[in-house]
Amino acid sequence: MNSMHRNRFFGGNVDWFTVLLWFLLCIIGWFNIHAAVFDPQHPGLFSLETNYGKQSIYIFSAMLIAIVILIVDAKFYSSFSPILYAITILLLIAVLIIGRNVGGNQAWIPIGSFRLQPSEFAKLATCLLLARYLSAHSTKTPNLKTLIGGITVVALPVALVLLQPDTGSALAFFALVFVFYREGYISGPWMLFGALAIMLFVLTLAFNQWIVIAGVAMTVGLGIYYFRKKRKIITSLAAIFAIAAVYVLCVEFVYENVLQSHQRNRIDVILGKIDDPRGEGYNLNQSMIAIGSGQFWGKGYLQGTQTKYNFVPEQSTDFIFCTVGEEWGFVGSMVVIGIYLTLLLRIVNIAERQRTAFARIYAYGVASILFFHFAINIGMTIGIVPIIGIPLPFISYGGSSLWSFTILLFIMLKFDANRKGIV
Amino acid sequence: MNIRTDILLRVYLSFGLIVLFAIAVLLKLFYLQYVEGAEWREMADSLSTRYVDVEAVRGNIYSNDGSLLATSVPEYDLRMDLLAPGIMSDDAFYSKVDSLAAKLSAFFKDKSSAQYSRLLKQARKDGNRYYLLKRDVGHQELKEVKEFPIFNLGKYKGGLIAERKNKRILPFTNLAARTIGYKVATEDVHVGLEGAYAEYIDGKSGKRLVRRIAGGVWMPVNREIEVAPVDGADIISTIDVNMQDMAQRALEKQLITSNADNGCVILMEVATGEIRAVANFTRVEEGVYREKFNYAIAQSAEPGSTFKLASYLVALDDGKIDTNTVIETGNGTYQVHRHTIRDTHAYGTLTVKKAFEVSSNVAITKIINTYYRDNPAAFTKRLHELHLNEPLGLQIPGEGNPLIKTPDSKSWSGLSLVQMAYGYELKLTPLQTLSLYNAVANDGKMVAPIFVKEIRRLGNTVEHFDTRVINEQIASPSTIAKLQDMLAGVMTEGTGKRLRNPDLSMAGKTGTAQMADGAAGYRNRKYQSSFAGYFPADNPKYSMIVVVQNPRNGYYGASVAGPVFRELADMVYANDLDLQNDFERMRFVGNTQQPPSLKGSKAATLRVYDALGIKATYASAEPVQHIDTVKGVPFSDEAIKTGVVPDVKGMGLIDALYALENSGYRTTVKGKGKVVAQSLVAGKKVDTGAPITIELK
Repeated sequence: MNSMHRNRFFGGNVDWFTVLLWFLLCIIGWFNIHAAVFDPQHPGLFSLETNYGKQSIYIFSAMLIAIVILIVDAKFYSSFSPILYAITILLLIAVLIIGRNVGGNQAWIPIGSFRLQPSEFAKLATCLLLARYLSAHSTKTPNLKTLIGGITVVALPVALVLLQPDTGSALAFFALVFVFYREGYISGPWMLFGALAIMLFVLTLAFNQWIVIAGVAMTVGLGIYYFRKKRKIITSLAAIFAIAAVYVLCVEFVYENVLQSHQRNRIDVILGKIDDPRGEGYNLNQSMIAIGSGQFWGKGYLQGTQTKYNFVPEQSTDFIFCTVGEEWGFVGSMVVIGIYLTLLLRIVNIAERQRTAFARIYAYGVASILFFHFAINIGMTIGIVPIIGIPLPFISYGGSSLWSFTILLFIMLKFDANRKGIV
Repeated sequence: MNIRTDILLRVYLSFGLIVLFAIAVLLKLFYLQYVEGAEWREMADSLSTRYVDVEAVRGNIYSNDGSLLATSVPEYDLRMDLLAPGIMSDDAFYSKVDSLAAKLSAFFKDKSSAQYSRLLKQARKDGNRYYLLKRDVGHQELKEVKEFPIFNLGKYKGGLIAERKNKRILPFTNLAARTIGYKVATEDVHVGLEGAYAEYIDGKSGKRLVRRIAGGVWMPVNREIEVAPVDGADIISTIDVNMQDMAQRALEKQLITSNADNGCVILMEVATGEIRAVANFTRVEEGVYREKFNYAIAQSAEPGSTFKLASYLVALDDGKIDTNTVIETGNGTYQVHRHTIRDTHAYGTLTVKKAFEVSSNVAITKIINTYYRDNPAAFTKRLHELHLNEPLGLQIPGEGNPLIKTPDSKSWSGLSLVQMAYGYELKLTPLQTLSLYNAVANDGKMVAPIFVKEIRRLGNTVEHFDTRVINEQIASPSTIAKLQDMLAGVMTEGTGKRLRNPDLSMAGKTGTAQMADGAAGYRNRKYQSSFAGYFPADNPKYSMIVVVQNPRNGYYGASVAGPVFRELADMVYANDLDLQNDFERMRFVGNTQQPPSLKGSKAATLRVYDALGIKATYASAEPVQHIDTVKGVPFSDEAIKTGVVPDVKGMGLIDALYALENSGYRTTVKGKGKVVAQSLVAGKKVDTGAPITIELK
């Protein structure tokens, strides 16, 4: 009994390597927040008046949370996932009513001096419930009914988050598409189809819609020429062209009529359609200046100038990677990206070694969400994806985000530690 | 494909995607930091420090008598950093924002407290660090605003950003505003002296190195300004504030009376060409005139009869005629090439002098046509020698170009010579015409008008503008003397007779020109009424021209432009002791203006006039223009009749009560002072015993 207990918690079953990666990221985050919002009057890393002081508390409490998660029986998470999900949904509704509006998003519930951001925790609860739902149906072959049920689980919080409206957080849920893919609910051709749709989307925005349609026509034309003997293929190619043309026109329409002007501007800046270093492109330009001016070796800890003087907005949260780039240069950025890469691959690895469908699906969910955050956040700071306000996991300043990602990760580690037991 | 390999494929794809993306990120990073690094670093430096211009204090413009005509005062645009360190926390901001809003609202009175509060909160939500609160705030106001809640946290913490700029003010507001000059905001140009002397007045901007600090605020790097600005120089103009004021009042009054389109008046010192006053008014609506265009220097138009001076000058100087040469004007018409030139009256036989005095068109056209018909170039050559075909080369921009044709001109016709003889088919600006009159007054020496005497920097003269002579002697002294005699005669014997002031001798010439009005030509019967001359006639000190365009009440030069000339001359004379060589004799200066006299007891009024030595006469029925106060102050009796409401406006309480009670009304009095309103209309028959209320103020 005693040894069982030890096994559950301190045993070698816990993936200490992942824990180490997590810890490194937290510490890197803390130092960079220190650099980003450095206040000469409170230089200490633990000055509680400052954001870096607060972050030290968040990290410390995250550790406590991690320990608690590892102690709690793994069964708890699967059994209580519907309840957790229900609570989160209630919180998401509550935030729309009593929430605090910061920066145009009604995303925070003030609890004392702390502001709870339910959308961060919604990712966790959704992952858990999705895992439970899909695993319950895992004995059957993937079918449309289950897929629709799974999508519903994801769509509900997405809809509520969109109401805030926090487009960035809502987008993060779409990362779960990988989970459906891994579990066989979405086939390869569909993924390819989706990828093509995204590609056409970007091309349409970057160029004139008619040019894109002409490009598609040429490609299809080549295809028709190549398969000129096969009538069936020609017919389907023509159909594809028709669909693509309509789609492109729809995209243009949505872009012009549905998207809000600031969203349009952000996309335009990324696509290089407008060059506006002082307006919409300001964030991105400042961010690129910060990172670019770091060059190979960086300017050194606390030596950054761009991030120090509030040039970069949100530099301790969404744009924290700028500080890394400026002060630690290419080498430092490479280290951070390396750690993320290792962590993500490790999670996929862990997912694959799970014996239960629940743990596997959940781990994939974790990997998807972390990957999405990592890709979008770092991508936006260096200008390869549009600016979407989501945090860099474990590094960005903020209790809600740090805790929710920590919980997300450590529940997975708990499952992994317990994989030889029965969930 | 079996399920196992399918799943494996999917897993590898997931792996691959992650790795692929990581590689993409690293490539872009490498590109950013290693390939473009130097460029970004440079941009970082250039974006975080830069040189800004430090505005130099502009020079002042002074009048001839040392009054300040234009100067600069500091003014500020107030902005607010809604995320300033002092209000970083929501508590600090939201607890004070309402009291700040209340203060701002009470102070600026442009928005309600609630509006301010809403706007500030919105700006806060937007994270606005450069929110515009108020433009054009004075220095004193700024000092008070700095004490408002939040702002009193201090320069840095309070978030108040005051951006200094220099505001140009004209202390005498619209006094010669167009000539002094101002900035035309829409075109970003300065007009008038401001524009002409911009390079002196503007000074040179300095440079200051600033660095961007928290919140996008630019802060000077060094305490000292790196390149100090050079303040602008001061301009001493020739304008005399008092004369300018008088000129504007006289002109505006006459424009309103005659309901004209526009008008201008220029007063110039004969010997130096210094412009003492230049007023321009344009009608914006019935009875309202604004200074919008510098007609005096810019409006090149057909001068009409005032130009006859030049024609006579040429004919006299060429020895073609003399002042006593007799001209037959017959029935007042003269036929040239089927074109009829008319006089207003049939003058019959006239001497040259008389013809000039009565402004006979027939006489001058006949003279010029007779003597220059065979060689018109001789006439136009003389006009060119008078430099009437050249701009005066003024110190301020925008001078209109004159036009004096020659027989070589394309538009020259058989009629051109006679038309030019009395001021048509040629163009002159009022100032150009004036310079000719000034030359005659100045015994033949033509000088260029000047607006600026001196440029001073820190009290030291940088540049001094001396009188510039255009033509040392425009005609022989004897010709000039004859012309002076003729000009004086206009005022004593001719068209200017009714403008005569027995105490101030004047010389001048009336002008009534038909104005060509676009496509309608001369058919619309628009007139330009002008008067050019100088005073005193025997020893000229000032020359003056008055031009009024399209007057609707009357159009003769003597009745529209003349009174302005007379009034301004009177006022200048009254204010200039040098002109009054016989000061002792003067007890009361004649004036075309009726001095204000209020209603009251006749006995008392007469006693006051008597004590002041003013002759009181009964008012004549003549219009205001013909009244000469030298003859006495007119007054009229108003008998009190029972049952008829008397006009008591302007009376004091005792006189009013006396009049009303005697008419038989019960009077209620409000206020004190003079009666400004009465409840029953004056002159109306109302039964006695009726109540009447009078308001005094």
